[in-house]
Amino acid sequence: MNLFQWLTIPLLTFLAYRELRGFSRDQRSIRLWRFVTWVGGALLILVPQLTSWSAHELGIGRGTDFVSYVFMLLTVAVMFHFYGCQFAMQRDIVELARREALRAPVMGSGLAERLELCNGSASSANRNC
Amino acid sequence: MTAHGPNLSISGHAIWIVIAAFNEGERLALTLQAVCEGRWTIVVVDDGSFDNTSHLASEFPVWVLRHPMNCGQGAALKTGIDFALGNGADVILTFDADGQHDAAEIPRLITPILADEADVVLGSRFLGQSVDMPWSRWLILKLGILFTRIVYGIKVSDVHNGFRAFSKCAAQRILIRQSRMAHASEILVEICRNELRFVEVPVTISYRNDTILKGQSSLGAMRITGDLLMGRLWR
Repeated sequence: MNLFQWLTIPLLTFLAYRELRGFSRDQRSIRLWRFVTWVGGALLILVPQLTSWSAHELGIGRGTDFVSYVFMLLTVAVMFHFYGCQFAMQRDIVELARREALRAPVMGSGLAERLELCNGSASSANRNC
Repeated sequence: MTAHGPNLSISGHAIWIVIAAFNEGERLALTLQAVCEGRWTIVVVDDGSFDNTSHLASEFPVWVLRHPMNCGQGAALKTGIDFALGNGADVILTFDADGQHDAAEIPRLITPILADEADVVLGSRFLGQSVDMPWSRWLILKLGILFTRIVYGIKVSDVHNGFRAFSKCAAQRILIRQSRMAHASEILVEICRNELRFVEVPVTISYRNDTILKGQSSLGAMRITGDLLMGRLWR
């Protein structure tokens, strides 16, 4: 093992262990994804030939190309996920703003008189104003 | 939100007009002068304006609701419609704040609902008249009509016209989830999903330089398309 492997593999193993330990508590699907990512990363660093083998099997060619393609796809997926989160959060904020507006209607000048006039004539004119 | 007493009405039907306004200022005052002539209750929803829109609106005999932040026209209309429904509206009409619509045409949109011929009445500038419409706007609208026809299979002559009327039943069933401009397309989809009866009536839209500058751009049309697609993914 080289220095880079000595530095990263214990770190990734620790992160994977943390996900496993917290798995029973909450966010199971996210924890599972993170666990797979850390373990996958550790395996690829420990056995670099895996990327070359995977690239060859998929017909990509070089292992580095395989890594960059995977990285690009993951980046798009993560961006899409965060855009969705932001979209949902914005919708919640709008709903809050709408409820706040509905809680405090303001009568414009002359509206009360107009409605009162309507009310007064309602009994004599079949509630038409 | 509670019922606030009597409504102004025509033939016993409470008619409500919902006007969504964002930084409309003097244009809103002119619009309200024209709209307040009729026998209907008006609710102006100030969509978090930075100018004196709320203040100007409150000088007229209308209800004024104010969003604490800018939420978009779709959200503002939804707020106004919810308020009208909560106060016993039988017919709800949406009207643009910028003075592009002609208040004299309001009865034309209400009549089919009062006669129980339709649940929703959609104003169409292409059946009616468009005064000084720029060609770029014409092109965007025609593309919107084509998009709606291809993607949703809905045949209408105008897709983004804010001049429309709903019966109480239709307003209750139509769910507006799109807070910004995509609500117009969403309303059409909801009409079809709920199998509501709709008719199109000719209306006049008058374009002025200031309203054109504030209106939808080509970029806005792309954003509407994006919002519609995202809205389908994150319901």
